[in-house]
Amino acid sequence: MSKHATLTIKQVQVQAQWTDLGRRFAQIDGFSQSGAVDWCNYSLVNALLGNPLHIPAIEVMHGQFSFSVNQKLTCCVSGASTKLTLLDSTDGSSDKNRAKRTIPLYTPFVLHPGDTLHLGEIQDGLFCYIGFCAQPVITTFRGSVCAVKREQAGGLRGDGIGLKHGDVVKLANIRDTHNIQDVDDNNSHDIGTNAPALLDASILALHSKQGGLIKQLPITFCYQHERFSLRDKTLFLSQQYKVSSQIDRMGLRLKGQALEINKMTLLSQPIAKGAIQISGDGLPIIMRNERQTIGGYPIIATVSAYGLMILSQARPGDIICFVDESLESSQIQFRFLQQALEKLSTKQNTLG
Amino acid sequence: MLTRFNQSHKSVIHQKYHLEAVSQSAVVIFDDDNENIQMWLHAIQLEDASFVIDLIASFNALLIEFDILQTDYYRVSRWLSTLNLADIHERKSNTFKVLVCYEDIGAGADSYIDSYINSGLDKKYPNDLAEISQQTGLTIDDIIKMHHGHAYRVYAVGFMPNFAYLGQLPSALSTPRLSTPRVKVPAGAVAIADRQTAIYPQASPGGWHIIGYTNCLNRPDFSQGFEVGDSIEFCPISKEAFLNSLLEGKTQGANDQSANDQSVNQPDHL
Repeated sequence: MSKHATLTIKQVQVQAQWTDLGRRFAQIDGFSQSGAVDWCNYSLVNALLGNPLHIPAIEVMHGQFSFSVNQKLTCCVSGASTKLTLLDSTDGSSDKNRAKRTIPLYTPFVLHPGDTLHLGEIQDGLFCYIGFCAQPVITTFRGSVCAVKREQAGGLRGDGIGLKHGDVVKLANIRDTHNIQDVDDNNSHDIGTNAPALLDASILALHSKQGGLIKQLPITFCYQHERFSLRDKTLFLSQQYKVSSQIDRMGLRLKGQALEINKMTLLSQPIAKGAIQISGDGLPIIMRNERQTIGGYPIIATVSAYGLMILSQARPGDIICFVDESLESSQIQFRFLQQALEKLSTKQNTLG
Repeated sequence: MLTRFNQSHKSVIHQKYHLEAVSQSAVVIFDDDNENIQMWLHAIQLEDASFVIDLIASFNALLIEFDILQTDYYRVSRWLSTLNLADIHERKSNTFKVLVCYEDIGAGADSYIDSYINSGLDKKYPNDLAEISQQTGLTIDDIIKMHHGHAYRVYAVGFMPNFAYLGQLPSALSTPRLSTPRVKVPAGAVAIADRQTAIYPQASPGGWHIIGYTNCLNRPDFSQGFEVGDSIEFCPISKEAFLNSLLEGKTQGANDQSANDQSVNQPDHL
C-alpha cells in the first residue's frame, strides 16, 4: 500500500470540515476554540478504528456529503442517523458490483480505489463524523485542523473555509487493517468488526442520544448566578426549553419563559465552553465550540461536557431541561466515558 | 474572596481575588483591578504548565482552561496560590487615532457604494444613537461629544481576533446590551456596552449598541493590531468622508505609528 492516499470531495450540501479536539492557546488572542461539537462521537469513530482518540475526522453538518478515494482505506462513520451508500463513480473506476451497497453506522469498513461514499439526509441528530485509519496532511492553526469561517483562519487552505466540492485531501500514515471486512462481502448489512466492539459502541452511542424526547442537561450554577432571583433560578430549572432555529457551531438559542435580567449590566467576561448566557430578552444561549471568547451577557450556569455531548445532536424543536449537578459528578461522568473510549480503541487496535 | 500577598515587590501588594470553577475544565479569577489580571496572565504564561491549554483575559477576569485528563479544579487552585506574581514590564504602547462616522449612514449608502465598486462590503449600517439617547436621557450630540476626544486604554483583546475592549466610558454613557443580540454587526461598527467601547474588526453577531462606523481597520498600515496597554482616540468624520474612505480604501490620519511618541496628530477633519 502506498504511503499516501487522496480523498476527493464530491458533494457538500451544508457544511463539512476536518475536525479534532480544537485549538490550544487560540482564545488568548481572540480566536475561537473550535473542535468537534459532538466530542463523544468524534472520539468514538476513532476508537472503533483502533486509532488514538484524537486523530482528525470529517465533521458533516446536516448530512448530504460524498467523497471518493484513490486507495484502499479503512473508514467508519458515527453520529447522526443517516444512510451510507457506495455510489457509482462517473469515470467507471469503481466496481459495479459494489455500487449502491449500504453500510451501517459505527462499523469500520474498507473502501477500495475508486469508491465513492455518500452520506444521505439526516434522519435524527445533526453531526456525523467520518474517521479513517490515516491522517490528513493539513497545516494546523494553533494545533488544530479546524476551520472557522468568520475568522478566515484554519482548515485545508488556511482561510477558514470548510471542505467544498472538488477539494483533494492527501492522507498519510495509512494503517493497514486485517480484521475488517470488505464491503463487497455479500452480506452488506452485516459488515463490521466483532460483536463486543459494536456493543461497546452502541452503549457509547446511546449516551450521545441520552434523554430521549426530553434531553436532560447537567449544569453547574456559576458566574453571575447569585444575581438571579430564587424565582428565576427555580424557573430556569423547572421549565422545559425548546431549541430554536438559531443553532450552529457557535451555540444554540433556546425558547421558553423569560428570566428577569432587566438592567443587569456587567463588564465583558471570558466565556467557558458550555456557558449559558441569558441575553437581554431573558432567554438562554448555550455557548459551544465556535463561541466568541468574551461576552457581556450574564451567565447563570455552564453545561457539563457530558451535557454538551447530549446537546450536540439536538435539532430545532427538541425539548431540553436543566439538572443541577456538582462539578465532581460531571467530572466522573466525563472520565468514565473517556476510559470506555480508550478501552475500546485499544481493543480495536489489537484486533485490527 | 481570597487574599494573597506578593512578596516579590519592594512594597507588599495586597491583592484580593475571587477564584471560581466555572466548568469541569476551567476556572476564572475575578479581580476588579485590570493590572492584577495582567499580572496573573503574565505569571501563568511564565510557568508554561503542560495542563494549561488556553487563557482568556478580560477587563476584570481571567479564564484558565486546563486539561481535565491531567488535573482538576482543586489542583489548579492550589497551583495558582503558589504562583509568584512578578512585575509586568510595561511594553511600549501604541497610540491610534480612529476616524468615526457618527452620522446615520442610512440606506443611501448602498447605492452610493454600489455605483462605484462591487466589493461585497456590508450593506446595512444600523445605528443605535437614538435608542441610547432615549435610555440615557442625553442628546445625540452629547453622546457623540462624550465618546470622542479623549484617549481610551485597551484593557483586553478578545471576543474575536483584534477586538479591543476600551475603557472606560463616562458613567452617564453606560448602557446595557441589546435585549436580543444582532445576528450580524457590520465590520467597522463602533459600539458601546456598559462602560466599554470597541470596534468590530469583522462582521459578527453582537449585542452592543452601535454608535458609528470606521474604516480604519482596513488600512494596510494597520496590520499589527491592538494590544493591551495601547491608546485609542476617536475623531468624528462626516458621512461623506466615511463613504469616500470606503471607496478609496483608506482613511486619512487613522493611525499614529509612532510607538514611543504618545502624542496624537490632529486629524484634518476636526
